[in-house]
Amino acid sequence: MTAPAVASLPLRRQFQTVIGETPPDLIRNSPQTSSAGNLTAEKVRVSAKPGVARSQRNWVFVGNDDMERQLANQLVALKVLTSQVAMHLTNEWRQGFFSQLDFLMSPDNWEEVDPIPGIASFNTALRLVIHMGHIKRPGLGFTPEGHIILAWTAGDDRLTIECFPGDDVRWVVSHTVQGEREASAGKAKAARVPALLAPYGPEKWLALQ
Amino acid sequence: MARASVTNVPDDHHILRYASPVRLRRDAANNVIGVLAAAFQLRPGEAYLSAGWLDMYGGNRDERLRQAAAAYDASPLHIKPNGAFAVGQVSAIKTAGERFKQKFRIVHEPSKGLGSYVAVRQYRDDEAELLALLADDAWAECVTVAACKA
Repeated sequence: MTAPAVASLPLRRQFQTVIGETPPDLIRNSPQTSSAGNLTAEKVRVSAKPGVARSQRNWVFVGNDDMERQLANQLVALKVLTSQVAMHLTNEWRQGFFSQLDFLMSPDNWEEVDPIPGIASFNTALRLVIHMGHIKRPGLGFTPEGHIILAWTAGDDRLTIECFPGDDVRWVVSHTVQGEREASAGKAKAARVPALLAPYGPEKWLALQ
Repeated sequence: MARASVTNVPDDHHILRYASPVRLRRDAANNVIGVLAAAFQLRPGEAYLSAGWLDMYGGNRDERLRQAAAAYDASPLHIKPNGAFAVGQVSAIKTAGERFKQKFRIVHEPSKGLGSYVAVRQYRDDEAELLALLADDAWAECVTVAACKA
């Protein structure tokens, strides 16, 4: 059966088609033994273009190889995943995002003890960005578990969102109230974040200049 | 064999924690503007937060930072040139913990090839608000490794 043209679908269906719900149709992480039989490989299936036929899809293998190779492979996978939602991002936003990933995921900046970032966390981050609409590009980081962090800063006011697999996020707002530093945090599904942040006036972090 | 002495770090002294390049707060242009709360997360299996005693070294602030960075370089605790140190005063760090009913023990435990090694014990990283307060207030001064060595 021919897949529908993604751009012609309603927005929510585009998410489901391009990035996938749980478990997603186009992207899957699954432990798999390689044909060599001695490597446990994480297979990341990504589509060259949204809606292309199954037989035309690309495959990226991330094996228990050296760190540099794993980083390079995963960086490619994350960029391909981002490109699949290119219709929601400006070219400048996407290129800047790629530059940030290039910097952080270079062997010069990656600690060997840290796990390679997972596709599932990154998938949640992309869905979150799309849910939030046209927003300022965040600073990026990674947790010791390999989850991606999106961070926005407006003076002393800070918004930080950690993205977990399965569309779950933890948001933290940190600001000064009457001379004392306060922080508020919560866990939610990515789709709920815009509503949950509304009381904090998120425009100061997110609005495009 | 004589056991290395373990002493409390004085409240008015400063300690530093190394944050890797991926745990620094950056703007969209990748400029470093602080540390992320994730810099204060324990790695799986860690029982305490590791740090260094900045004021153990002599000289002015810049000289102490330079010596601290050199000591980390010479130790098995690798630091990346694009990483940074978060610097905080012991009393402020303890006060932040007390707001979340955590009573940190901040002790000098020279080990791991680092004479200034400090352990922040009785530390839990399960409260996101505490980690944010450390990163954005009590332990927020951020000095890049490159700046320490300059």
